[in-house]
Amino acid sequence: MSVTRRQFVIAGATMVMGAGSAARGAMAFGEESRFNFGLLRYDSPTWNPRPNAISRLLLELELSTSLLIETDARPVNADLEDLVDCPLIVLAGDRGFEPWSTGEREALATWIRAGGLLLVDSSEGRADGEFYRSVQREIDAIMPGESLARVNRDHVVFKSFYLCDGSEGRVVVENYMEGVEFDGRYAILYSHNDLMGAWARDDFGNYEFQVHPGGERQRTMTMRLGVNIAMYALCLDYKEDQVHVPFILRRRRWRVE
Amino acid sequence: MLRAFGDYNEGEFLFLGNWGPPFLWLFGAIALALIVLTWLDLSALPLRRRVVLVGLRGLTLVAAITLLLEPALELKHVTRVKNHVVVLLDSSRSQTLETGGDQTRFERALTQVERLRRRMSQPSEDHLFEFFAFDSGLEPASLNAAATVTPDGDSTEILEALRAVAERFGRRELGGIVLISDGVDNGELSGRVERGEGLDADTTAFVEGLGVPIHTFATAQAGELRDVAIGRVFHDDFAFVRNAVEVEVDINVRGYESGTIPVTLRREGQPLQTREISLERGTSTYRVAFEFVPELLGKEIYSIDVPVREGEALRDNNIEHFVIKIIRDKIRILHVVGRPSWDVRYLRQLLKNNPNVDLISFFILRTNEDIQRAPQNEMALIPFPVQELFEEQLGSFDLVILQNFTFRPYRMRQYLPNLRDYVYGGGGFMMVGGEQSFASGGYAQTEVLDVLPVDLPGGTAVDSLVDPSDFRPQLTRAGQLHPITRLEFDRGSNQELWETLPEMPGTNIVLEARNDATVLATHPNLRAGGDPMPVLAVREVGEGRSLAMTFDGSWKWNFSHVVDGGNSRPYTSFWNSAIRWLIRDPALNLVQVEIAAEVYSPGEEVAAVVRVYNPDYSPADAVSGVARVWRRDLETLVPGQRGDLVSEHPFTTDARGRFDLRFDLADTGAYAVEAVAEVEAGVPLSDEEIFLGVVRGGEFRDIEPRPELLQALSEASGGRARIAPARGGGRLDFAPARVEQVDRRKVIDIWSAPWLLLAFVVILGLEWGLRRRWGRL
Repeated sequence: MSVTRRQFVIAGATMVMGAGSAARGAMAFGEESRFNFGLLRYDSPTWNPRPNAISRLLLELELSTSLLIETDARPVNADLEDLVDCPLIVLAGDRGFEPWSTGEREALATWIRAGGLLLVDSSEGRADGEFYRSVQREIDAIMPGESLARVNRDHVVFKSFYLCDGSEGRVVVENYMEGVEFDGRYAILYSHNDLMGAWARDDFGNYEFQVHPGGERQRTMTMRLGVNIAMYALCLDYKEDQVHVPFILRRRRWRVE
Repeated sequence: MLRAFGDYNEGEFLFLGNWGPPFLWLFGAIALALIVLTWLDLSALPLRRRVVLVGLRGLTLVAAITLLLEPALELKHVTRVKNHVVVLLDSSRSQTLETGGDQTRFERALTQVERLRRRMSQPSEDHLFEFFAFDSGLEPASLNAAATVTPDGDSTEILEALRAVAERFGRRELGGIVLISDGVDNGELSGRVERGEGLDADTTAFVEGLGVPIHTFATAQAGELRDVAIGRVFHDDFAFVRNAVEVEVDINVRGYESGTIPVTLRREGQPLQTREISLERGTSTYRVAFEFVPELLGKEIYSIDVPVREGEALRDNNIEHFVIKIIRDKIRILHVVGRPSWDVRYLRQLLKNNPNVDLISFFILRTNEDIQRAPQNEMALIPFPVQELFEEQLGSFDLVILQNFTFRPYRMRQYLPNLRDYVYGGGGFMMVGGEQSFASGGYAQTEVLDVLPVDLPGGTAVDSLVDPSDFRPQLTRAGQLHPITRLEFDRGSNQELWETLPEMPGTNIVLEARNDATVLATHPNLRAGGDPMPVLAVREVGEGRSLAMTFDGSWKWNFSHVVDGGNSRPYTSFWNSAIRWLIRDPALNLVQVEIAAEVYSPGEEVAAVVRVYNPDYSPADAVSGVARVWRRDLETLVPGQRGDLVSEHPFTTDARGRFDLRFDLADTGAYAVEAVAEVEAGVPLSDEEIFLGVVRGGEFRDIEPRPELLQALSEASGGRARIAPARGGGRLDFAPARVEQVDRRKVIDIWSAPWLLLAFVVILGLEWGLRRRWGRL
């Protein structure tokens, strides 16, 4: 029986986690309880430019956090039937794309209102390319009056698990992320730096792309940013709260000293 | 002024000589100079003769000046308007106390009134004598029937009484005031003037402004009694639940100067705290402070008492009752999560968006089983503060939510009894499903099981502890009516909504519900103990409440339901109702009782309102019910007991869904008004509100007489202060009557009278004769 590099890595990781982790999977509720990314399928030949990237990030989440995950990204169309099962979706691409239909836009607008988070990852390698403008066009249509704006470096998404700064990616086109806020949270996050390019490995476990200019450290930080985005999707501003916990805990005099 | 002269009723001296002050000074200076010169001129004479001659010269000069001034007598017949002299008799209850002798203060006062009556019964051209009893107000009475006055007033308000007298008669018509009291004021005056202090400027100005004397008779003197009394109690009318509350009290001690006195604060009759005061010579008021934490919402009856000591003048003032309304400022929720998930995220978002929630969240983002991929200083993780949360701060939360969380990896087994005690003590507790919850979280053999609404399987076979298949919760009959699962007002619509909500992805396996639990929803396929397995159940646990939710997919009622074309209302309604139910939010009651005041006195009318709402909180019109009034003795309060049924009032609500209840309070006690109504047939709902029936006012808080206060009033007004009973009432001056008009007048010249001229000649002749006889010309 042949064993792929990927299967080998997963098996090894499972041994490291021990019996508790084994029980974690065995006792899990249905698949829908597991954390996963959806990958938006749209009319473009490169809607999935880094096919092995998200599963690598999911594996990283499985290994280093308490999350219960599905191991593969779930391709989803921009219709309510698909979107209904997936609150976190990645829109990836390296070129401009045709305008989406009204139905697709309405479905995504509804999905965002319901609490969905769209992570947009550009692998076109420049700041104001066709992909960026296409995304901006769709945001205009889905969320009229809203546009991408720079995400502050001290935003909780950069400290939801690891400490990051927003300049992570396979390349550093921009040293910040952009986003659109809705209902007190980011509904859209946009990376110019090809996050998935840094995450992607082939079936033998080799990284598929070189990382510039920071090398492996930059790759590690990009993986961490992926973990942070997942944590932000699930915990929102939880980490922001932690700063205030000591104060909130002791604010009341609820006991007689 | 002369008061009567034949047909004239008033007269006065006049000087008709039209000399101005300069001339008067000149005449005086000349007379003085002449006397000095005469004294010097007669220096050779013996002293006696010298004095006689100088004296005669002086008399001569006085007579001469008198003639120059032309004295006269003006006689008038005038019409006077009599003014009012008001006698104020203190009829408060402190007057019933015995004095050092064998009389009560009030008996002394009556004796004094009797002595005044004799004098005031005489005809007077100047005054009309008015008689009033006073306590918290003026009560007209008769001087001749003072004995019919009953000293039963609940306060003594001297300044208010004086002000009322001034307003009643007008200052112009007032001739004086006679005040008979022990001086134990508990109105505005006592607030202005502490013991040992003089009158304050405002009171002095007021008394002076009356323009009439206030004569006071003190019915008791300091040092005549021995007593320990609960003085003023300083407390807020409301406090926040689970927040420290301070109550301070003044203990007034008279006649005891050694030993200790325990002061006890009680809640619903049960001792809460005791403080001890050590008596010191020269100290009569002791401030005692209590601090405690109310645990439950609603009104509570508190009391502060001191034991009765031997020889005390009064026992009634050894205890004071009061009511504090315990309210909530914010709902304080501890949300502990074993693993981030979409269910966690949506619940957190709901809690964070609620401005009435103080949220403390702890999410386990990684466990020791997870690989640490970065140095600690590159991670934004903090340790899970188990001890602080589950031992030190647990009691500060209104609600604890454990969501897909197992205690096992965090060495917190030892703190689980705290969680059980917290619920029994009034806390809200909720366990949300997940592969780390309920039996699969290891709670089957822990104290947490004691407070859950469902029993748990004790096995460890992991496959038997969860069921991963999708299912849709089935509402039970109780669930169709319960506020948590009543997502739609109409029962049919509610059932329909539950049937269309997204399915849940799996459930924890639990056993049957506890006997005292209420199952709101069950699993469509799984069974426990022969019945459908509960997936949503609630339970009253001691003073607290708990909820078991065996699935972790309620987020789909928001996200998936919205994406499916619905809205998030089922999700928000469910969770908000669950939280409010768990924390016993009074606003969730469909039947509500409100009472206008916390404290009533016997004889007063109690005003209560019963409000009844439909399940959608619209006013429930024409709903029948019954309101009952219960009473407990204040001396034998026991928490949780209603006492005796006093009255029952069947009612039907009006179009506003309300019923106004009015009844007269007959007696003191701890009262409760209970209302029971059936908004839906067969489902009686009730609410209850308490109030206190006590004799209000601080009449017996401090019974030490204050004769010095009465004296200060007298002195400021120009009156006299006496100790009652004073013989004959003493000399009491009042302002004269006001002259309305002069009917006739007559001027009699005195200066032209022959006897005055003759006297002048005789004195002059006598001086001349003696001078010649003694050799002086």
